[in-house]
Amino acid sequence: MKKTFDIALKDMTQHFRSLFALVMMFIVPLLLTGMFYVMFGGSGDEEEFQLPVTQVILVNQDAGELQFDPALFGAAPEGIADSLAASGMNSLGGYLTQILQSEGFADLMVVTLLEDADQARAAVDNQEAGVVVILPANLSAALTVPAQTAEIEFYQDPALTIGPSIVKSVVQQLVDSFVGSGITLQVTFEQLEAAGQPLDEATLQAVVGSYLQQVRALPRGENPTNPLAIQTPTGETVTTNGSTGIVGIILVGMTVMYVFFTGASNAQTIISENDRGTLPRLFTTPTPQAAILGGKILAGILTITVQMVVLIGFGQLVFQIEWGRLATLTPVVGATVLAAACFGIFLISFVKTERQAGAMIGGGVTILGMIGMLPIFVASMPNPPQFVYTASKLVPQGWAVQGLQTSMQGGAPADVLGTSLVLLLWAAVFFGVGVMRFRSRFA
Amino acid sequence: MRIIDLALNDLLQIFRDWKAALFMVVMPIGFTLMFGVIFGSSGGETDPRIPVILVDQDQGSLVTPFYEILSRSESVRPLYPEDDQTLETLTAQIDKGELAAIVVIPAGYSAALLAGEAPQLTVILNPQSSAGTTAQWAIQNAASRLTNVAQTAQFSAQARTALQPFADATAEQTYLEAGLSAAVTAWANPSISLKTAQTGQVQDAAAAVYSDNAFAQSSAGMMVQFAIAGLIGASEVLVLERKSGSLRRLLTTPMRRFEILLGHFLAMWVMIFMQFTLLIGFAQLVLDVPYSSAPLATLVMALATSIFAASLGLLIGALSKTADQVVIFSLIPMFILSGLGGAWMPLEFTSASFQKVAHFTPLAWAMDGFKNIIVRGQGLETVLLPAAVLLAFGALCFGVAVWRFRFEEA
Repeated sequence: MKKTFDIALKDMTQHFRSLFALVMMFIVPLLLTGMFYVMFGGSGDEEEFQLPVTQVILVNQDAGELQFDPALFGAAPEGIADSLAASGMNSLGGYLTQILQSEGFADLMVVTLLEDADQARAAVDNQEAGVVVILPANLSAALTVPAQTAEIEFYQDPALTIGPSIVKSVVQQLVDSFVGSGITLQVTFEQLEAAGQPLDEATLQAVVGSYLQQVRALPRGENPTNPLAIQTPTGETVTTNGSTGIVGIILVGMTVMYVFFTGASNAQTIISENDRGTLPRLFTTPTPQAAILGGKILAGILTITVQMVVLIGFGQLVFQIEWGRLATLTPVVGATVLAAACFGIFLISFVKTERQAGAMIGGGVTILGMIGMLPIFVASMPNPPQFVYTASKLVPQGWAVQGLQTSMQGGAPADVLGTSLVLLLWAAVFFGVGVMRFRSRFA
Repeated sequence: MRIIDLALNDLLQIFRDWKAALFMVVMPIGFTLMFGVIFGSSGGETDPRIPVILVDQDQGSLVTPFYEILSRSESVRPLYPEDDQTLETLTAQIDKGELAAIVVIPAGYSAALLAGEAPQLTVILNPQSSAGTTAQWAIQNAASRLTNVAQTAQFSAQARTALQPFADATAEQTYLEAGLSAAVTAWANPSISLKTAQTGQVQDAAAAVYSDNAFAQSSAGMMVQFAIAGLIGASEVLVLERKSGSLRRLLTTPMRRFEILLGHFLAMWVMIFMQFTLLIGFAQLVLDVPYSSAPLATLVMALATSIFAASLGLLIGALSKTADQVVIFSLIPMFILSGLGGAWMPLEFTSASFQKVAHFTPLAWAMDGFKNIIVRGQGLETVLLPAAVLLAFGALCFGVAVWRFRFEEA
């Protein structure tokens, strides 16, 4: 037993002295996680997610003339309706231009005006702008002339999605507030006509007058433009620890990816010692083969344990990631450590030279790690395909990811029992196959 | 000629190892397919719009009109919950990122809206996700239209009452419902509509993230990422030659130092260019990623990116003293440059400061160039700047590699 510990200690010392091992164990996973932390503008609850500000070019070709009532500006930012009505602007295009350029939308878009539609489209082609909004000549007429329709053209960079989509929604909402009035009057007239009411000039005037009066009476301050009450999932109905943000999920992936790398890298010492001749020399001593192999596995277990503890601790201290209850986290970490250490023995049992080992570790661990991380890759997808979760379970990394995520989401120890048992089963299989192959090789 | 002989010798060594094909072809194709299938699918549904669950606690007359209006959205599609889905389980799905939004129509909502009040729909979503934000805007638009539908029916009934009172409550209710239906129908074809046109020939951007466009992103992204991964074997050749003394022995031949370096560089460039040819061919023929829409532009980008990657490979070979270091110096830049450069996900989804930093990296320019071709449908003139920047990065790497290159172990 002492010899096993001696071998493990020697391997660990070598491992922790190696710059390569330290970089791959700690620096790379933390660096990549930190990169995503910056990428998403930090994950802390105190930091707001900021939508991209879209460069918009507006081409107003509207030649119509309208008389607007401030009451119709339902979707305009508060306070702008009166100033617009007072400005003397008399086309829908002019009003939309002023509203989109107002401070109320400055967080979402930067609007530049151009007269030439082709020049504006060229600016999008050259990636100088994300979207061109072209207001057609008959825009105002479409509101007042029966059967007249108009199309507002959106010319956008197809490589952008969310920014143009939001600009489109804003314009849609503004236009709807005008179109809505037309629909109300149109439906009213159609229904009255269908009910047999004569629609003479006096009736029409009376209905329109009544409508404007009613619109002016609508509540304007409280919620005329926001019919939604937005809640986050961590609000009233779900009690989570609020730390399952993207950075936490990514650190789970990085941790799992690189502990399996460490397992393989640790087991690689069997090959490198064999290449250098120190392993055959060790076999000539009275040390049993089982003790030697046991020492190698023990070194892996201890090294990976240190790695996981450091990564988890660092994540908690620096990225404020809550990993869940200790009673839940411990079995998952333990089972992951065993699976990763034994995975290394299994993987390396298939290679004969150090050069082969490099490619096997680089390729094998990356492929299996990325398959295991599939649920993380789809973390921001609203409707991820189910095969992603099935595929990730084909590799031990997938089970480790699931266990750690369950713990982060506040799961109870019983919630990770199955996951931990599966990881232990993987460990047993890896251990059995790996040891069998090494024994037959060194017999 | 001696340069070519040296390059051929390197290539022979690289391709003798079957694992080179793993990094150069199998892995990038595998991951292109994987990411493409994942991001190109929508939970197995053919409708790429973001699903939004409607929880009806109202059972009122405005629920169906709201469903109908929301169904016309370009970006979201409404669904009612399955029997086994509760508000709690659905909310948990949003917390996990498996669902974009839930709309709860509270009890009494329809009655309140029809009474001229301003009730609110409760929307549960993650405001930090792009899907949640997109869904929020779409739901808000639909809710505004619904408000108009209610106001229209209500006003129409009032106008009728003013002219000729209803015979009874049933007649009024029937008139009101007819007004609701007419208003919902009118919103299907409003007098002012929005149409989307785009640069190039690619499909509607509302669905771009989760549709065929994903193959374009993953194809270009994995190609540039694995160009760096493929350098491991090539750079290892340099390290092994230095260790074995082959590099030093080469100096005793009539070859000049610069020629030796150029020979190794040429081998790396040929290897990466072959890799690009295979991957672009696969993406074009199997995945319909339109690289051939601008063949000259594609060639320029493949040349510039492969020259940059080969220069980086030479630099890795120059800086690495052991095979372990080759792996570190290859994989770390690969992960960092790929993440920063938008090879994994479009930079559009990152913060503004991140996007600025990204363009200090070569892969962001490589992605820009390839996406100009395959996403924006543009041609040669739009890849000249990205190609020039890549060549500048390549020159920088090559210069440092020449400066730091040692022919023998220290």
